[in-house]
Amino acid sequence: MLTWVNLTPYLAAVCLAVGDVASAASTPAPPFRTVSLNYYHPVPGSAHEAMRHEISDLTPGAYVIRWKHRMKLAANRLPPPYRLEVTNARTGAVLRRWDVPFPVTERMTAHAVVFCPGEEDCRDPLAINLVPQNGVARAYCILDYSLAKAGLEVDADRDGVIRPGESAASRRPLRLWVNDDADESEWQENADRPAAPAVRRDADDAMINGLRDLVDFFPLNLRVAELVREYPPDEGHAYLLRQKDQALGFVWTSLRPDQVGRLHREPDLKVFGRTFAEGLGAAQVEQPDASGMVEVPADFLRRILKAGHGVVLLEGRRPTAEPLELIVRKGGADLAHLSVPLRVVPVETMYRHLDVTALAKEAGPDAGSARPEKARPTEAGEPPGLPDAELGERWCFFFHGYNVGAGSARGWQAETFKRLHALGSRARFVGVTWDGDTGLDYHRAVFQALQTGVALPAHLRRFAPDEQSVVVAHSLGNAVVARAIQAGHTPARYLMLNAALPVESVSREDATAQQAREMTEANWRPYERRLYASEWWRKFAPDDPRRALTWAGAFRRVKEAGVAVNYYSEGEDITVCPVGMKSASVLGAFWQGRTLDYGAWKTQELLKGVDWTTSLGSLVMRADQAGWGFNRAWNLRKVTTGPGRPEVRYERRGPAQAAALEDEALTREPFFRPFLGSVLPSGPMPRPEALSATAWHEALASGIPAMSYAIGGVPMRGLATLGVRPTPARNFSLETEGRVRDARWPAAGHRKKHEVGRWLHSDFKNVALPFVHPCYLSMISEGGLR
Amino acid sequence: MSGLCGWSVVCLAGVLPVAAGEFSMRFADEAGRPLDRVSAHVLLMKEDDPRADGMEVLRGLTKPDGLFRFEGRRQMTVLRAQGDRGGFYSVDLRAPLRFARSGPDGAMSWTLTMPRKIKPVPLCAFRPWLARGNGQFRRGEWIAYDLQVGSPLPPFGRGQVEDFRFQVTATMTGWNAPQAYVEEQRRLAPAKDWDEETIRDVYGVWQAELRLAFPHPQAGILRSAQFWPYARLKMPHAAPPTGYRPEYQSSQVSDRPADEAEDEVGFWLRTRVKADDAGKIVEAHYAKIVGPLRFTQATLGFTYYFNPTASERNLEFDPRRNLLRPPADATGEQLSAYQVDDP
Repeated sequence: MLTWVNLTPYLAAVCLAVGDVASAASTPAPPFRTVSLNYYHPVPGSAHEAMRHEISDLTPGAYVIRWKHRMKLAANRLPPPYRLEVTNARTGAVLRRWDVPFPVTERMTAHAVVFCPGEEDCRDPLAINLVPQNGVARAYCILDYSLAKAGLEVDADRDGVIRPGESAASRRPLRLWVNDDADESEWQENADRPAAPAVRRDADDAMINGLRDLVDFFPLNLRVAELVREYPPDEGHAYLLRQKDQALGFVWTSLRPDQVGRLHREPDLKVFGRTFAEGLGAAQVEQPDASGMVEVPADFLRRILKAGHGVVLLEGRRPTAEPLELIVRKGGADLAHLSVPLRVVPVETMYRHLDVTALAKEAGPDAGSARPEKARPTEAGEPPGLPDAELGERWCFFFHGYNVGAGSARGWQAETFKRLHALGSRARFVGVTWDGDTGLDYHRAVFQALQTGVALPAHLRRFAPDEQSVVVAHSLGNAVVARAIQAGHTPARYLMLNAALPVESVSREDATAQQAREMTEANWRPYERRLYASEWWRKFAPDDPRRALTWAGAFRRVKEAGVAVNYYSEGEDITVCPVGMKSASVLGAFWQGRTLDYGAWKTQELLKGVDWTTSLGSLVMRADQAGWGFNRAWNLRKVTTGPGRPEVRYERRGPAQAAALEDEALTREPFFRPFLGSVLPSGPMPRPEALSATAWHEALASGIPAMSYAIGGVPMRGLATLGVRPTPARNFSLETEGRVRDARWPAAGHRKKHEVGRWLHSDFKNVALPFVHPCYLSMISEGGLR
Repeated sequence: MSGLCGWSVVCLAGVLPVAAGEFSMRFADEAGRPLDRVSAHVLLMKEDDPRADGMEVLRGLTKPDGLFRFEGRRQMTVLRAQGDRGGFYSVDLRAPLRFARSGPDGAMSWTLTMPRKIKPVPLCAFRPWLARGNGQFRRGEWIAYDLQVGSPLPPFGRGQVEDFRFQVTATMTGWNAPQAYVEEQRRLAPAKDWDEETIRDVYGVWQAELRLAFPHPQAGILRSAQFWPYARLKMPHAAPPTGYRPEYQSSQVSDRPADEAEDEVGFWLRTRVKADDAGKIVEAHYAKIVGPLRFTQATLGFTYYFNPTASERNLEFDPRRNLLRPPADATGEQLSAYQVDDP
């Protein structure tokens, strides 16, 4: 809230009754406010001037009353006596009075006093009066009266701009989370879990721990230039920031309040250090003393005086509900006092959580398998650290990807929440933990993702109706969400981040012939495509359940609903499908070393159905059905004769011999390795009555190879070409649209040949927010999260 | 004994890098003249080895014969190739296998065209997306289009001059999903709010046909004989003076997988033709369409560049000087490999 009145003298009475625009975000305003400013002659015919300023909606805080004055017609050179007083405009009671606080001369001089009304004082309209003493002949003249509020301003709407007077809305405190993760650079993989056991906390040291740590700092503007002018530090005035519970650390910066958004948008911000023009490395986090106090340094106060503002970054050190105060103190006396209500909370108390890890376990073949760490329990109630009243109506559900344990999931959720929140999201965030932590067995993770997804809609609707839900999923988390959408959930928006799903599953039109060629395993390339496991479904009548044994169109509702945005990166390392990679033959060697590397998604597709003699990778995956395995039932008996005994061997049919197999025979006995009995009975197969969801999921996960690239690495034209109605579905290139243009890109984590300068699979989280903020701004915009 | 020897050979072949012939890339200008001093950059990957260590980056300059040669180790595949030289449009070839020509011993060669920068000019460049959903498309109706304004003529848009007209006719030949699925969707959002026409558009299999017609017999369309999908300038600099046909026709079936190769086409257009009494053209405007005319039973999208200067055939676009501002009613998005800000 800012009140600033500056009117020319001799203006007659000015009365305003205006809607309270400036304080719309703060105190619930009366239907109108009144301001009147009168310059008048207290004695008719006299040359004296007086001034009365009435204002109805002052809020508690510190105000600086400024004016200029001089005397005229002073024959005896004696200054005219006058007084300044603040009164209750309704009762006339004097709240504060200064008698001739400054001398009056013939020269026009400027003066100011500080006035700090309390809650009680502000209940009624107040009047500020500058009144010359009546009966004195000399004329008292006033010029340039003004009233300015000093204040502690915050970016309440998190739009990157602190506007004059911007503060958290009435009775809503400034909310910070405790900086208890372990950031330390521009790129990190596993540093975001809140209060991780046996890990140092960022708040425990006196530095900003790398660019990724900046998301844990909150800007506060000290709009106290008028105070500093009246109470100069070099006259013994001390400016103290105090938070009784020692819950805050402070960083002095040269950020302008209208540009605090640079904090999360500029990778090379130079606003720190002694000169306020140094980089992040020079930043010092001031730690409070035992009374929670930090003295604002004199050079920072001088900057405030010069620039009119002073932005401090706050770091949450521990939970508190006590306010942050600014005290101007001299000789033990507190001359002015400002405060801002504050809550510092553990970040996980600011959003909800949904644990659906049990959905896969109950239904899967490895039911009840113990996980080393239990997921955070479902917490559907209003988050105490960020009440719903401070948020909008949209809900944002976030799904992590494969190989994310329960503890890591907390890190993914916390970091995603923080980034969205810092950039202005007002959505009710829900972190979702599903069981994709299957170690080396990626195919099992796919199965569990699908099992989770089919049961998911009812769980999501416990939180929010479909039309208010925005679902954000990363990597294999998209299998969970896409399956849920296929099962009937229709969110308002679905934001697919580096999705580990085949293109054909969402958009058959985008599965090109070239992709199919490239996704074919080396040993199968000479064979007709109709023999492939991926094509088997075509041999059955439309109403045969086996028509469902394909990725093609498995999640077609995603496209039909027109709600998806495909955030893809052609520079991906995991879901990229390298041309020329034709088999998974080398994979096992490093897969067992738990190194997911270039083209890993394509590799696991090429692993389907192969046995360990072809790829060691099959030892760790559920790759023992269909896929790129051959059905020995079609081997040919071959007898070789030589000098010794005749030798009988069975050999796989060659392409020409296989071409002679008729489709009708292949429906009963496929050329590829048969499905497991849990999917379809082996041997000559009659038409099954139905295909259970579990069997379908198992077939897709480990038996049916995708014949198209992963969505995460390519745009999908089919998303947008439905065209029969306006649809917001679209593609978003993370490499060109999702990051800061013309900026450097972190070297850490991007040192290998194919990684330099590229947007890798998990960079939306791993790379520091200032580099990737356009991605988050897009998510907020596309999801309507603001 | 012989078995042991066999094992040895296999192991060595699997471990040692074995020269597998020569790879070469030849750079030439649009007239086929070889280009020397092209900075070439090739990224190779070892087949079957997705590890980053299996990758190799080669750089070099072409010789006067326009060739950049390099030895490929056994089972190396070219992932990406780039060429750059001042005064020419750069090339960036991804997944270039289908451009390759295999020679003896697995040797491969490419020829890449790097068009010269001659005289980029301001043009009207736009990628319209005409769809039933945004009211700029109606199946079965002829719709006239104004390339300079970037809009159909009324009642479908705010265009003023007809450059050409198009018509899409389509027949629904079946459903693209089991009937039970379609019926289920009718009960769910968002399909529960759709009219029957939208239901049929989304869940139908359509055989569609696109026709283009031109208002003057000497106006028309011509498929470009040359198209360089990897180069920034993908078609020759200027539209040809002859060869235009006043009609164009194409058909397609929905639900059919796309093929990238079908995208590698370009068209020239001649419009706004004025001819004298003898039929000689005295004035015409020229345009190019980069990429296909992509259509469905409910949509049409394409990327074009129109020269507003009469009788000027130069269509080498200066991307910093696009004369066309997209109309306010232009909606939707059509993903395309070809961007409006290409030359």
